[in-house]
Amino acid sequence: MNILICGVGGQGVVYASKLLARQALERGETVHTAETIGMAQRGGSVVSHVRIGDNCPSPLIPKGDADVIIGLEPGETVRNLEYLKPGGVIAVATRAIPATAGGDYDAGKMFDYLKSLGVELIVVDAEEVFRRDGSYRNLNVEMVKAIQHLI
Amino acid sequence: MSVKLLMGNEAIALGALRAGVSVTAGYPGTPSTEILETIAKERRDGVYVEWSVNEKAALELAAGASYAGARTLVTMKQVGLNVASDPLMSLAYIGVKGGMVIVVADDPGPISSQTEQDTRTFAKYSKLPCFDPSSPEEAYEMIGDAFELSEELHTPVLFRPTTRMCHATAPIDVAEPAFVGGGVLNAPFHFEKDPKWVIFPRLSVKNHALIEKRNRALSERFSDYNFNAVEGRSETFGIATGGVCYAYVKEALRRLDAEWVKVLKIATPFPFPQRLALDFLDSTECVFVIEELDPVIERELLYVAGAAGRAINIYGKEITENLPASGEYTVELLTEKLAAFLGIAYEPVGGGVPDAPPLPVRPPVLCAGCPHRASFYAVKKAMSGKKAVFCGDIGCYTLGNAQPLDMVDTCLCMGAGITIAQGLSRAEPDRAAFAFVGDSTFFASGITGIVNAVYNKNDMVLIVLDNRITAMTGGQTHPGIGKTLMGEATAALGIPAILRAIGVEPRVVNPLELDNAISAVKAAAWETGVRAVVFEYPCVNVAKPTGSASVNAEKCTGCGLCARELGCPALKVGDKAEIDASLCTGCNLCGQVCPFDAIEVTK
Ligand code: SF4
Ligand code: SF4
Repeated sequence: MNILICGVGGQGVVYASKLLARQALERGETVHTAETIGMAQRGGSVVSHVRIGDNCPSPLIPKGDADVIIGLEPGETVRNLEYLKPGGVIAVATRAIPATAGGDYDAGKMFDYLKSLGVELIVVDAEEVFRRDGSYRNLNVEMVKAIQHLI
Repeated sequence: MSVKLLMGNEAIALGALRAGVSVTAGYPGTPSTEILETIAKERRDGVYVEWSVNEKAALELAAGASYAGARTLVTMKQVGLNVASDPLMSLAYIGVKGGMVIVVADDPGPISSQTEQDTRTFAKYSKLPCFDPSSPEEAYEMIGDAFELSEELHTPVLFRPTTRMCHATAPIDVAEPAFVGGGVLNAPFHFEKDPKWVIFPRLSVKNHALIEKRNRALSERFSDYNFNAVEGRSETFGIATGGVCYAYVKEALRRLDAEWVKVLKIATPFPFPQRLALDFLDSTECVFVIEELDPVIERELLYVAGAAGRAINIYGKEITENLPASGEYTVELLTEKLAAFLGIAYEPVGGGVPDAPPLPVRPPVLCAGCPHRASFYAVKKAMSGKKAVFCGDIGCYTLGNAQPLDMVDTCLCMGAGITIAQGLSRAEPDRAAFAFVGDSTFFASGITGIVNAVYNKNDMVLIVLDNRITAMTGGQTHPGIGKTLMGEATAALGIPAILRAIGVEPRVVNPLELDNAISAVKAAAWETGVRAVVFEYPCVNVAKPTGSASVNAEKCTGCGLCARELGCPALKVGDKAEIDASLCTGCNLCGQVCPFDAIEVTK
């Protein structure tokens, strides 16, 4: 099973992948992960690849092979859509993070687009996390919880 | 035995500790940095670890310890090997006593480097054996082999992972006992005086001949090395590969249902296992060579085939141009190429996200509150309308090139900005030449350039961006900080004191006090000779935020000047300015820029 986690720096993408990997290890499964962070310090795009099971030699999930995409941010989710397998599931958080290059982007349009794809969409309400915790810090954990039934 | 999830770099570190390494040194550089950090965390008493001042120092220190019999590990990124190449080339002739492994992490892409140089080529040039692991699992085992070989043959050995392997995580059986011997405390080492440690032409002539002979023998021996292997059983087709590309090839073959194809895996690109390669070629009609960066395996196969008079089709990147000559490879690319090679029908995947709304652009930027932004801005203001050129250097502050700051006109390699500025001012004397250098780079290779300027009466303005950390690679210590990688307190070398000793009286300023900062730069620019301004303020990842800024909506006219001038990611302007409180550090740079006093900082 291939799970791709994406978001922006500071959202805890890497932590979410560690969580999934640890769970898999506890179930006695083989698991490999890889991070692509590049030069981004903060605010850049971050992607984590989690590959559960044997016979996944490449550290990165090939495009078209992700069973699940966990998107901590709607724009990043759309950016990484190529990775989704036909019939794959997307879990996406509602909160958009504005681009560093200035200005907002239209998160509503991103959601309309995601909905238009006709794939199974699990929407996680980031504002609910904020109301509960007073911060978005645990959004990553919430996202991992939201896909537990798929693993 | 216990299975642990280890990053490639952690696997290398634990493998080295298990192999009994005693003295370890390196200089931070993505993607190699976590190796020494893991040693620092996991080492037991008697294992020494240091961030050296640069890669040359690290390699020389390790050489000394190896002369005395200790097993040593040196770590760096590929461009670091350029800095360390002076001692390396000579050490190849002199050799070592204790096993010495030099880990050089390559960065195909390049993802976070200046060059795409290939350390396998460097291995051939320096005539040193080289290991090229294909996964973290393999790296954990292979580094032990590298130590054994080094000690047996009295030669330093190169070990070359690449980014994807360094930053991939795999479950690894961490063998018990985790450590075999090693540690300075456990093995009293001793340096035996002997003329063989002193390089002279006569010794070099003798040793050169021995090295060539050894490498021929090693090629033969590597043909039986278990990580060099031929897998699969096809008659017609063969694939030759190595490093992380081996993993990509396996995955691509699985996707094509073509796991039967024969694969030659090269784990020791130098000396090349010629006999194994010849056996492989003997039973194959056409070969596709798949490797990132230089065509190392490709050329070796062509050589082996040519020398043996074999007529065989060898496809690759150099002569037949079947693969890109540069850049990183992916499973997707290789699946497509392999399908064509094997004559299997395949519909390429990917191809973008059609009809998607415009995606947010997220280039790397200086953090909100980064003191470098203030420093660049002060220099920009001080020099506005004047003829000036701004030489940058390697670090977070290379990002000062981005709009709206646009303050980096050149960037070459560690420390180069300082000397490039001198050359520019020699060629174009009526234009002020500035050089920006960070604190870690100042120590690594900046000081000699300043000495050069003073000695030769070159004209320049040095701007030191001292943020009290090696920020770019994630916050490592350096000689200015007062703490070693072992966690001990040590002398904190002051940059102003060093400049004074060289004969340059610096102006030392807090860049977040904008007016002072601008006047200091103006004054320095007015003088001639070697001038220096040292901007001191800690990186936001070291210092606690001083507060948080907010916009007084009544005063803010929405003119947008603050965002336009500074490009702080916490700041944006719609109708009015808005500040993202979760990012803002309260640095108050925008407050000093706003002409209407609309920004207020609460402590
Ligand atoms: S005070 Fe202004 S410039 Fe400084 S971090 Fe906050 S928004 Fe950015
Ligand atoms: S990490 Fe530190 S030095 Fe680098 S951009 Fe952020 S604040 Fe500036």
